[in-house]
Amino acid sequence: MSTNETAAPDFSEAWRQWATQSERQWNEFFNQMMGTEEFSQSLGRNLDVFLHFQKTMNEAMGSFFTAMNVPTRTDVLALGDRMLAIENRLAALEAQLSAALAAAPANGTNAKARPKRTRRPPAAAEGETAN
Amino acid sequence: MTTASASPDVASQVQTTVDTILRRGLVGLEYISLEDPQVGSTPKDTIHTDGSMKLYHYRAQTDEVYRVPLLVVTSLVSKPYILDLTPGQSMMEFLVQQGYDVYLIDWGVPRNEDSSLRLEDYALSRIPECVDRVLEDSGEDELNLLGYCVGGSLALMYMGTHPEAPVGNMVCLTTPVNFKGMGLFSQWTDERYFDVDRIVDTLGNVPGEILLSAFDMLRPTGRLTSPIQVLDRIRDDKYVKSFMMVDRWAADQIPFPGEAFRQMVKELYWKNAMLEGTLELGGQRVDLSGIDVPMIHAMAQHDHIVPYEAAKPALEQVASADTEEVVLRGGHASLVAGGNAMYRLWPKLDQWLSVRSI
Repeated sequence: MSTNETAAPDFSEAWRQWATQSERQWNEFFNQMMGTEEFSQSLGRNLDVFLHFQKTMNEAMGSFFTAMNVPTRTDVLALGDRMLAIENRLAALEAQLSAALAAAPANGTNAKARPKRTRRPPAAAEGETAN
Repeated sequence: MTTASASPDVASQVQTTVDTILRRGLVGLEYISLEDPQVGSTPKDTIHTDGSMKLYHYRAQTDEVYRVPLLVVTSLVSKPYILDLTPGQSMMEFLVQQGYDVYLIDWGVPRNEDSSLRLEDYALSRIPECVDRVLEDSGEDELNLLGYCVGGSLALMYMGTHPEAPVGNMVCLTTPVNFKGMGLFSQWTDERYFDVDRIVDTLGNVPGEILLSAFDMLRPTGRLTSPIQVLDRIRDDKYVKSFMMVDRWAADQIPFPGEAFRQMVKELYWKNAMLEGTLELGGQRVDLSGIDVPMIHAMAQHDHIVPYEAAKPALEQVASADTEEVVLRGGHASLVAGGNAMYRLWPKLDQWLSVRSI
């Protein structure tokens, strides 16, 4: 029977130790299992099945959308490509504009306020002050 | 039999814990329920774009900055906000507040058209164009380079193909070089069973869901034990916040550009070409032994994604005599983000970089 003098057991510490140990053991077990050649082989097979299914689905859906006279994913992606080309040209124009603005004489509105590039590491700065 | 009156300490301990859980639970719920948590919020400007890639310049928060700018190359595998997680727990914010002039390459979320991007597009084209843009923007003639995870590998590929690169110093954070040391990833991409051509030819970019499943499989009990760890440290606000943010980042997986994935599997996993010195990008050999700048490589003791064996050889491959290896407690993400990083990596990084940035 416990008494008032008995130190209260630290349940949280015991729980923590148990949880950490269990996690480590389970991870070790699974990692050993997944590190076998059989597992890699089975993973490769499953991936193949998934990819085959994906390919078949893509083809079936493509034919369906074409028959329905609706744009397919490929059509939408082709549009995306063309939009990207426009985006890139806009970005190039933007970059040229920024460069032109940066090269122009500062008139107080466009000039970016930049800090001086003179910072020293704290120890070096203290040494300089001491000298 | 133990009674409540016999164990007032236990009763009060339970009471306190329940109170804390209820009280902190609300804080936790706040993080859980946030649809769009505040991440990547250190003030910055986009100074260059190329397709889905963006080059950011972080706004200075000090009166003076170090002379040499710092260019950060992020990973292709995940979103870059792990380096700018949340105010108070952001490596970018820390660096800016220490007076560094920081630039960061965000590769963006790969779109379908990015499936044709190869490693040379990153190492021979996009990194060099960002380097030029940083030098132009800062007005300096050299910079320091920092690469995280695969970003470090890309930075090494850039350095290995550009012996005259205007890079003064280099920082690698948990950067894989020896892909035979990548543990289960090496096993799962076994040449005999892993049909990478079929994956890329069918899917284009490798979907984030597949990558996320692979990462989860590295630590199968993670999804179950993570909430237990949070409950265990529920009294620690900073930990709960950091955990929730990192956990959200880990689940926020992006696709991997298809052609680059094919190349990584065939060249890096199957041939271990980076370590063997046989990797060629765009007809140029990646020669790590030609890299002769001061270098530091920080790795995490419990990194289950890039194990020590995979990262360790980076410094052994370069010519530089001024190198430093640092192994810190923590995992792949907690090396750079959260409370762990705040007290371990960041001060070390500042100490190493500050004297090399003047």
